Amino acid sequence: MSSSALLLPGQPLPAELVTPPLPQCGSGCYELNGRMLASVIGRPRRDGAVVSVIGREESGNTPDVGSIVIGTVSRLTPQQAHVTLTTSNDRPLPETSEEFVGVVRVGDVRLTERDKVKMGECFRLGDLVKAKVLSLGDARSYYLSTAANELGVVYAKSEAGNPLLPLSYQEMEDEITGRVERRKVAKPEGI
Amino acid sequence: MAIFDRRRVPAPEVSIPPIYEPLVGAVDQQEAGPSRRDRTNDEARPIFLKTGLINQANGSGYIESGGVKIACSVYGPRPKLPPYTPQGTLNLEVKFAPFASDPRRAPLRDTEPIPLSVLLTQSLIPTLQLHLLPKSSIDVYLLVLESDTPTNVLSAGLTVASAAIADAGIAMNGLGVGSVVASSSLSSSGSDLAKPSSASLLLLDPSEDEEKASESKVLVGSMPALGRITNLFFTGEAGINEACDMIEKAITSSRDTHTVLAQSLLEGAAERGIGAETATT
Repeated sequence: MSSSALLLPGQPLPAELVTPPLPQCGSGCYELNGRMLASVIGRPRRDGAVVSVIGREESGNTPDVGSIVIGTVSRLTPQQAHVTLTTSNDRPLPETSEEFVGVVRVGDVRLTERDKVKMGECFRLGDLVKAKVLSLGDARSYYLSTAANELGVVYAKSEAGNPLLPLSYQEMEDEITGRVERRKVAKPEGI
Repeated sequence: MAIFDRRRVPAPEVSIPPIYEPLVGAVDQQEAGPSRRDRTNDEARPIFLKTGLINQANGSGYIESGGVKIACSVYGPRPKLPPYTPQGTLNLEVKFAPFASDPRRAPLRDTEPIPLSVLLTQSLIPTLQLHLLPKSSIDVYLLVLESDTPTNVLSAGLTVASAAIADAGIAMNGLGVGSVVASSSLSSSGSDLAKPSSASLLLLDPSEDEEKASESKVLVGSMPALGRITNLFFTGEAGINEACDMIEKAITSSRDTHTVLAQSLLEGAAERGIGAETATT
């Protein structure tokens, strides 16, 4: 694809990108009166049936239903884990004074044996967690779920403070002391 | 000796105001009246606009337009405090620096910024796509560093706020642009008796003196890219045809302002390196 010019909000997408079959509007663009217009400053790109306008990396995106988010566990109770979100769909959330907070409830931790889940055997404070946004949640926090193989703890430190390596779907091993700790482990990518 | 007061800057006991040399041609400006000397009636004053000057903000803009200087910073979208809202909210605040106008303003006791903030929020909301930002808020702060008339502050404020929001990468329907047209009747000046009394002079982007001498003025907020108006703020008295002419004229000039806005946004985008990596692939 040839590099096309930078678009501004309200500017129609170039004609060669909206040729039939008519594409769908992805992020950074919208449809008005049958025309497709950009809504952020950026370059348009077409991936198959979706056109999008790629703007600033740290642009104004917020978590939405279905987004894959990454965050650190900031508070843990037997009923739920509070996660402070840092990225959404591989893009950083805007840096602001207030943080986006998500909650993983005990029933949403894993897909099977939901009733036997113990929060302390799935997450620990400071763990880096990959999760999916279930719903916009209540006034304070987004509701998250880690009920999928590729979701869960992606990085954690042991009680001794050493990095943990994944052993199985519910165990991680300290690479120095060899002690095994229990987590809801995310399936590492590429395995 | 009394205890040193460290909360206040100790000023010298005696101070002398500076003495200014009278400006050459200052008398000419006073006599300008309804007709202009420095530009034609359809000509707006030049605009300087730059984005991305405030590092701490997610997006920012600075505008100099006629007698108005505004710095605008945009924070967000940030998570909104309860209660839950399915749409995003726009918090907009206009503040005047103490030195922004003559006479000086007292901070906090100033009541003028509140209606200005409300009007500017109304003009700005149609340009935004707030339905995409549930549970979030966008905070826009405009600091007026220099001002002449409230209408010009609103017009420049709308332009700079949309520049800053676009700079922050927040989704917009289009770029909002403000423009002002004032109307003053020729018969009141007394010099042109030959012209019919109904004829009036339409002045684009009026200066402070021109606005004072005018009978009506209109502020049009528009999105030239979409051919839509976001807000119309009319004060004074004018015939229907005249009012339509004034709005027409404001819309025509908003296209020129839009060009300036687009140019500065493209420059700002190049400085931030937007789309640089996609261009190489």
